[in-house]
Amino acid sequence: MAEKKQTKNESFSSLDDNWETDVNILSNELAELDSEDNKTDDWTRLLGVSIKPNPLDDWDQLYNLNNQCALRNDCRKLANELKNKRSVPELESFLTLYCKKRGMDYIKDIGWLMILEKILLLNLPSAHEFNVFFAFTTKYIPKDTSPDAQIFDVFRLLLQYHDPQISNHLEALHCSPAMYTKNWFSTLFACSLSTETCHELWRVYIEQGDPFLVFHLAIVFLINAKEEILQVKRGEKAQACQILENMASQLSVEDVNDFFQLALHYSSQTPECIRKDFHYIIFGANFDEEVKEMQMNKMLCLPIPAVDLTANDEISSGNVNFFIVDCRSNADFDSGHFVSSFNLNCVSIVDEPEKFEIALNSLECYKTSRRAEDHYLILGYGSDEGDNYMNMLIGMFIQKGKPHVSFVQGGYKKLHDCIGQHNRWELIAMHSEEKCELCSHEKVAPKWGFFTKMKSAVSNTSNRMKERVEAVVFPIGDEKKGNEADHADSKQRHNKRYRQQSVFTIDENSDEELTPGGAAVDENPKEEILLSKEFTETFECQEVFRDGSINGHIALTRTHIYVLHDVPGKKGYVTTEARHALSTVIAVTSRRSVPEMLTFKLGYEMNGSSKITAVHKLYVPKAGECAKAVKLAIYALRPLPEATTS
Amino acid sequence: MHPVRKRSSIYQDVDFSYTVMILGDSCTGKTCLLIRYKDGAFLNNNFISTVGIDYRNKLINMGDKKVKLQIWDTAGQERFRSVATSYYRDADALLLVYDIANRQSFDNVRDWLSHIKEHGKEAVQVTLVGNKCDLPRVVQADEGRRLAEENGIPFMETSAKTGQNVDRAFLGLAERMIKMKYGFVPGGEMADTIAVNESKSINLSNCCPIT
Repeated sequence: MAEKKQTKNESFSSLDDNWETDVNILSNELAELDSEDNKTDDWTRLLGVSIKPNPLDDWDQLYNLNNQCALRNDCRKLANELKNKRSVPELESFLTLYCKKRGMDYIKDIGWLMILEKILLLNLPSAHEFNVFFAFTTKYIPKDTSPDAQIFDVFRLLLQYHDPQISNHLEALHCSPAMYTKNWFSTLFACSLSTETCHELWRVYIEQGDPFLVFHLAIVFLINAKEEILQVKRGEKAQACQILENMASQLSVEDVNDFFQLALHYSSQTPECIRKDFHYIIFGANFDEEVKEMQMNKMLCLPIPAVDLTANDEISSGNVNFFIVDCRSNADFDSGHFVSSFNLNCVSIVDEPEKFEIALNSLECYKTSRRAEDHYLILGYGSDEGDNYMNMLIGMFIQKGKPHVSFVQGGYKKLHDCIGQHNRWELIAMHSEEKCELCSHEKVAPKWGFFTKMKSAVSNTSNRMKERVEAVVFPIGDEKKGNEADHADSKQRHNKRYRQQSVFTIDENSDEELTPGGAAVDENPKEEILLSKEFTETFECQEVFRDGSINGHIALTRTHIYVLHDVPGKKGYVTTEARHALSTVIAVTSRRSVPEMLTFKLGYEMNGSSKITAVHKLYVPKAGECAKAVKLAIYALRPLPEATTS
Repeated sequence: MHPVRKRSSIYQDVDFSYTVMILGDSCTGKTCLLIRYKDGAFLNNNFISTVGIDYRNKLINMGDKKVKLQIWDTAGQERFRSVATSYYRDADALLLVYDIANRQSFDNVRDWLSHIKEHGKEAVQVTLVGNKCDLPRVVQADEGRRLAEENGIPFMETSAKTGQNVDRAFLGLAERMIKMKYGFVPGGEMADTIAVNESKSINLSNCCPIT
């Protein structure tokens, strides 16, 4: 409900200021027809046509469409339907002008007549009818609903996103979305609903103002009919279509609100960027052919543009948070990957199926226990050959009936490009420019000045950091149990790290060192503390964010590393911005060009590869000493060789 | 850049490893053939179409040699064709399946063959398979055989439901691949020498060796 109100407000705010005066005048003059006025007012206001002149008052009156005859015939039928309340010439003028305004010929059976009938039955003042019809059809009716239209490919992927089971079943029945949704989409359900129900639905629909909702309304129908549809046997696709048609026609005025709320729910569970990307293709008044070819029918699941992951601070789209699964090889993952993504080497589907099974299981367990609400976002290489294995993973997920699976369009390659363009390299963890294949291709990339670099380098707001830190605390011991098979493999990489996986047992030994709260982040992070002697080492530094930097200190205790910010005007006082166990330090790197710039990457290990959960970029004048101290502190914590522990 | 790698011999103790792909229209029983071959079971009431592509492997013994078949099961639907095509170039052998109870699936075989010529390896081994021979037929066995002969490929009719000829279809492919490469088949050619018992009425299900 809250959501709906919000959107309502938005639509209010975008209104012409004129409408209020219009309403006042009207309601004063015609108080007895209050409800009628409200209705008229709703329609004209919500469609933004309240002050538009009626084009029918002034046009060339030329009835010269190529298929004027067909139009006239259909107008006769419509006049009949309307019990001759409207004359045939009146309707013909109306639709002729409409076609001309849209720059196209009249197309039979495109659904316009059905919509017009319902709109005329609203009994709006005739001066508004044309504008209402024009605005309604151009805003809410997809421009192309021919059987091969992209809208059906989009819908198929959307349905599959929300309920792969029903989508797979309909596909197996050879029942394509064009068969059962064409009429719904081309008339916005007018053909299936009673006039009363239709008016009620349209009223809330235009109030919501989201043309994409038609997809989600259709999904609600399908999911409601799921049980019945799953019973339908092969070769009986007509029956499936019939079930859906009945489902829609049973909708009564009272059901509209529930129906609508359900659709809003599915809408909120759809990545926002889908709406953005396909709006232009599907809706609008223009029929130009220049619409980019998206090849939707070839896609295995919904595409998420790479740029959407780099444009915002959050790895999400609308209300949907993504759980990114990187399908590339361990080696490629280790030479640079999107922050907070998880590696699942999909070549092992073929090479080592058992190992893959274990890895997939542990990933799924982790997701279920920690991020159950998040949606899978699959990331591949971005090349046809490289993504063969990614496609297998997607196919596997969908076949298993896993909802909410999408993939990054263009893969890591495109993502890498976008990150480069936005200069947000902090989004790539463990990025090693020497090893990264994509970087070596573009060695001649423009060089940014140091300060631009510093400004745009890091955007770790402390809030986001805290969320990440939570993941660090996540008991790695559990994860390890499931993956003992992987240990042999991870040994090959030990030289890259500061220490072995076994370091993760340190936390158990150092319980007494944990603060009473036990949380990795101070409950009250802004509490001012003295930069005191409890730290074994402190170094002056500047923490660098995308939009600036803050003076502070980096400090070490025997078991933890702290990022502290200075308190302005209170010398010697600091606030704790972040506190990480030394065991979670995955890498400390410095830029060759700017040796004072240290990047701390924090995270944990799973399946023998590291998962980065937090990154700090710090400008440390004494970078060499600082890095050494961190190394020594980590080294001091290493587990003693078993021979000497006795 | 990242081709389908055949590294199985590194991980498993096998002498030969081959990639087999199953192609054909949707609902011709490709997945059922694979499941029958791999697990010896029949997927009754299987309404779920394959999405994109699926994978199984099967180890077989031929004489004293171990052969691993990596079997890719493709989705028959038109919209997945481009996804499947990118796997073609790595396939050593193809099982092209139609449904003998569905004329359309047989008519489309020619399209599939030209598709294979265009995208597949040059030396790829193809077997034409008329599946569902337990059902009342619409496509005569003769038609299948003629089409196969025109294209110089072996032909057989199978039933994933009864299991008839399923093993032989895969085994025949394996033997041809080995024979092509090494000139002999360890343990002798089995697929051709198995008595044609169940298929008297069909009488054509013999897998003819390529010439």
